[in-house]
Amino acid sequence: MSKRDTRYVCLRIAGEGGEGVISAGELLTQVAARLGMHVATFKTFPSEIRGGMAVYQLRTGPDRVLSQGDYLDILVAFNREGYDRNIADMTSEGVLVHDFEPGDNLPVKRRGGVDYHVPMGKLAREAGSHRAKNMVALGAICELFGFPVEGLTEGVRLKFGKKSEKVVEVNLKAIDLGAEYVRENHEIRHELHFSEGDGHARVVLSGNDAVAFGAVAAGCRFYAGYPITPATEIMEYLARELPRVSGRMVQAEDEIASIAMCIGASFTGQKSMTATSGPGLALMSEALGLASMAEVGLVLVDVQRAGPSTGMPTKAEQGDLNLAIYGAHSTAHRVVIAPVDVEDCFYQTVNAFNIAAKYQIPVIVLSEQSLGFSKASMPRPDFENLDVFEEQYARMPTDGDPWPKVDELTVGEGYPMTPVFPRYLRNDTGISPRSIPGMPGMEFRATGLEHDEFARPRYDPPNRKAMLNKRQAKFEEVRREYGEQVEVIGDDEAEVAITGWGTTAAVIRHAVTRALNDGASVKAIFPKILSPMPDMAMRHHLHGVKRVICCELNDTGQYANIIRHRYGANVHAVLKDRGVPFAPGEITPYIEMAIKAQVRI
Amino acid sequence: MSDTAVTPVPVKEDTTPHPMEDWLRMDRIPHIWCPTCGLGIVVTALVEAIKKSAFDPDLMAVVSGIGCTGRVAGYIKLDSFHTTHGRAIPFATGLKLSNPKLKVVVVSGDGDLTGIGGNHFIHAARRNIDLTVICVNNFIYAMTGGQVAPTTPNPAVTSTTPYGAFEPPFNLANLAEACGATYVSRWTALHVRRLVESMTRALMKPGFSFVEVIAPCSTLYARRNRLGSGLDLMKFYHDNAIIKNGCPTPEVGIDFQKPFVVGDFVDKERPTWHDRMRAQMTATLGEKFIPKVGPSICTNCE
Ligand SMILES: Cc1ncc(C[n+]2csc(CCOP(=O)(O)OP(=O)(O)O)c2C)c(N)n1
Ligand code: SF4
Ligand SMILES: [Mg+2]
Repeated sequence: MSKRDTRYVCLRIAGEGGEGVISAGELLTQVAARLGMHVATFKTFPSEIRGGMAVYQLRTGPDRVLSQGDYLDILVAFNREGYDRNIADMTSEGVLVHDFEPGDNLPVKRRGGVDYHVPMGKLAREAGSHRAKNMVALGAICELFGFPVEGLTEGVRLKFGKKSEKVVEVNLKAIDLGAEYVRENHEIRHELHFSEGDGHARVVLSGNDAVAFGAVAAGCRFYAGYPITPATEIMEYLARELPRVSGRMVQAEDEIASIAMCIGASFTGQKSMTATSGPGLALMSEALGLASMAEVGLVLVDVQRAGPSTGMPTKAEQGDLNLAIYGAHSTAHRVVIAPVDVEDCFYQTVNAFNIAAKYQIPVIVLSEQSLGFSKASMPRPDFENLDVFEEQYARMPTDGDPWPKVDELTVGEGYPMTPVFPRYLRNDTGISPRSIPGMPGMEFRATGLEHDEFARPRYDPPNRKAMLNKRQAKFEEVRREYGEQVEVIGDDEAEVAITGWGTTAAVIRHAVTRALNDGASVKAIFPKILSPMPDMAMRHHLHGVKRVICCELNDTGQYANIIRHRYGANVHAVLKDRGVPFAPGEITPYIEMAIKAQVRI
Repeated sequence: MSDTAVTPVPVKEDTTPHPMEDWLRMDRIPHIWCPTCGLGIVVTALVEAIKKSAFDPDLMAVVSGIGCTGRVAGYIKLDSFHTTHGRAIPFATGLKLSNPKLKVVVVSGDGDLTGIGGNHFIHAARRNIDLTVICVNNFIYAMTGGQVAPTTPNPAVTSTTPYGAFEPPFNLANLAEACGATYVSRWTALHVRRLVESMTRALMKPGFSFVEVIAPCSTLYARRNRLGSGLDLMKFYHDNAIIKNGCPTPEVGIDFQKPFVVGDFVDKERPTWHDRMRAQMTATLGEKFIPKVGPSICTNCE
């Protein structure tokens, strides 16, 4: 077992709803990011009952935070219930900061660790308001773990300055009192310490925010959607932002209308997007077929949740991979990509718009509840150098021959060649010239019927074959463009490989990095795109590998099956479907076992 | 992160029996609804109406969609089906057509019934399926965190209309009547006695009966529009609901925080789906038409 990397600290605040748990956590996260620390948060819903417990967790360190780690290092419990419900997640040497009588008969005993009692409620009242309990806690955290108090006070001014000077004063006093109490009453008996920031201010976004932000940056100016947890925040963000950039947002009457509106918008050349979760994706399946058939690009974000049906709407699962890739009647090409963390949500969304515009194809972005809801720091995107694809529409030819020569085949019997726009012209790439409504002489009728190069409905076998091939060719172009985008870390000669997708890929990276530091011979393989799979590169990297570990958050191994069937690999699937993400420590043993050839394939 | 079970927090013993113990699934209490939410009142009113209607509770079923209101089916101790979002009415239609002996009640939210489920709503009313539909209208999609609904008055603020709603809302009573409902009424969570009476009439009425209940969503609709608590909304209903039984439904549209009309609006006779089906089938098939026999525990009633 590798030694714990003490530069990373995982802290959880727990208390009653209304005690300011969330706002304290968010403030700490904001300040950490502004000081240039790397930080990622995790939001959990302990139960449905409103009010109830509130919990906020964050993990910070000197480099990109890949997962929430294995254990809690610090628990800040505003009351007994906060302790009782969370202590099981803490390491034995963890640090507890609490506001309940230390003599209490604790139902869950700790094996070791350090406790600091801070009378948060009492000090808050001293500062001038019982509501400042959370600020007392933050003051204590600064003093105990070396979090820069100046950053925090500045954060308080920024956050409450607009409200009133009085609120700022009370909060600052509370922070002072918390810090002072620790200084005067406690000797520091632990070694945990926040690592310093690098001074490069970072922005804090949730995965959902990052998707919406990325969409705007990529030129999305139309959004239609229907509320569904955990995707709704994307729509809420765009409801605020799109009107300010002459974009339009409609909350449709359901998911079927949402995707239909997007297809309509895309038909006019507008970059459009909708976002939903599993049940909504299921409803959108029919219209996705039309988008594929009529070759209309759009971006569809699926923030997956635990299903099926209403399932566990606020819990994590990676259960929609099959639906995203294969959920079609007949052959309906779509591209599927899955961001791994918040920063990736931004760039993969931009990427999705680029693919949709360039290849005139629907693109599904598979996010997931734990990613959509949790916030993390990321460098401010460099908009100047952002790679945004702008589509070139067809142009009216100027010399004699009206349109590019179409294939003999197309001009079949009963289909006299007329000088109409060959919207679905077949060529090497399968990407045909596109016009949008309002371009004289280039009218065409988009249709869900099988059609020929002139978009005319046509059912004869040679045409069907030709058009299927054309759409497949386009799909193969995507594979070619993204075919090499497989990231490999670790030992290239290893007999053991590990792979996964989406958020699980980030946790795998965490586990593998630790294993590599311990000298293990293993490699991790991460395809950037899940459909079309980058087959050449995957085959190359899997060559010589004896055992492959596939980790994913579902109960049937949807991705594992793809790896098994496409590459004939010896796969051991590590599956988890309990509504919560993997911890790296749950993956490590499988790497070790695979190296010792102890896993069942 | 570990997801081991947490130690349950000891709850203080309270031995007073709940007054509705026989009608509620007490193992599901406390319910998930927020303090001063109107939904609890709707449950109580419905139970009272069921008692008054004298239907055999064993031959009743409650069907709901998804939403805060959708959870009603989970708390009433009757055969119930918590279905998918928007589709309560088609599921209920399946129940009713396969076992006509059942009294089927749909309880769902405004968004569920008239947004995603709007198509089903209008068609069930057109068919005049024998269903009682109770729509809790809180003017918002509550369960998902307060988005605009097809019922949101203008210019209310919701999470997806941060600059104020501007799409005209449905007048649900008028919609139901236009599509063919035989009974249409609207009350609020404040008008409990009249609501119970109205629900009772709706239950007894053959055909598609529709009761709209205006109810406070304290956490989202009230808070976001700075209208106070659920209690403040109840006071608002008290001061602003104008009782007008028999009022023509085109006149009962609702404006944001303006006086609005409540009452029993429509009560008319119209052959139900079953009536028309039986008549048509008998006319064309004669003796060859075989009426539906429900499960053996229920006697056929078609
Ligand atoms: C297909 C599908 N889309 C979206 C959702 C998310 N969803 C659950 S409840 C709800 C809205 C409920 O609003 P309403 O019917 O007015 O009930 P309320 O919560 O206000 O009582 C939505 C959009 C879902 N469950 N399924
Ligand atoms: S969110 Fe609104 S409708 Fe839902 S339980 Fe709370 S108050 Fe009631
Ligand atoms: Mg509602």
